[in-house]
Amino acid sequence: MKNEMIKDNEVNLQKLLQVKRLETPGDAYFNGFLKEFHRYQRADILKQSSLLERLHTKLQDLFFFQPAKTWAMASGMAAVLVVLSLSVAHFNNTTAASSGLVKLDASSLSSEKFQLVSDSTFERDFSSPRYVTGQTPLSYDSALAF
Amino acid sequence: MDSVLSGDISSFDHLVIRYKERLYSVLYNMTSNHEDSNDMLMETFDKAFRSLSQYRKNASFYTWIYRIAMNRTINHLNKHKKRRYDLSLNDLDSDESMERQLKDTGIITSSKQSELSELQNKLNESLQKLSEEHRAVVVLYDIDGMSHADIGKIMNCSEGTVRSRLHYAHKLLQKMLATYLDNT
Repeated sequence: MKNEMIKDNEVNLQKLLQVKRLETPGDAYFNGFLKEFHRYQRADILKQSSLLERLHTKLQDLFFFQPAKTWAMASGMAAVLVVLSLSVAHFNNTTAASSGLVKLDASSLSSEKFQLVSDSTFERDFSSPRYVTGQTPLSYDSALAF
Repeated sequence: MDSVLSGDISSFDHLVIRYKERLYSVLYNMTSNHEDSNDMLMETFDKAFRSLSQYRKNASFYTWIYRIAMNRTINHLNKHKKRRYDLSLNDLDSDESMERQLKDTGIITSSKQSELSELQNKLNESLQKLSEEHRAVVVLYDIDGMSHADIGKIMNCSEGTVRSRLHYAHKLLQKMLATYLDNT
């Protein structure tokens, strides 16, 4: 009995909702629609929408049509950005550390182990190189005496 | 559709002619506002025309354009949450067939304009009380007569989700429209 009532209500609701199919603006509207649409398209070509608005619409469309693909793309782009920023930071550190380097003749010094001294607290003469081996100074700088 | 894709742009007009009435109906039942529905119908066809290159031949044009329309509608409704529907049946060309159907189903007993308007307002009011997702399935299934599978494709969800949304929406509508349902 209860099931029948539920079924009846369901059928009646569907009948009621189907009445809305007949709710139309009339033939005059639909007959003129194509003409109006062509006018709309021409007007739209002339109208210059702002870049932000277009970007916003594009993003909305992307998220609606391909949510999974979009999230993958967004994650990929975020990963690339992180890698890029880390690389830039690393490059800056390397450049800063190598600022005191002087080119040496690799063939003559290949057997030597070199140690870079780059302590900025020393007052030093920048015209002369300040490299020392493990034991013997290559050029003498009083600040490096040990 | 094939001729449009092969470069015959004027063939797009045939698609506009074929789908304008059904799409209008969906947009109108989602918004309950004629002006908004008209604007969105234009936007939908315009967007479809501009995105023809993105259309995949193996997909149905019918579900593709409905998807564009639903996307536009839901964005629009989110933007204008406070706007109220402001068209009554008086503003639309209600013809005799509507009165006949209403009487046949026993929903109304007379063709008085006041009774029709009241029903129209109550139906619109009830639909607007549903969330956009629930309203969409009711509009597409009960009013437009679309299948669960097609609605799933349009709404980007499974058939199960469509059925469950429909079940919940029907329950709510039965409560809201109880007066009319008891009369039938």
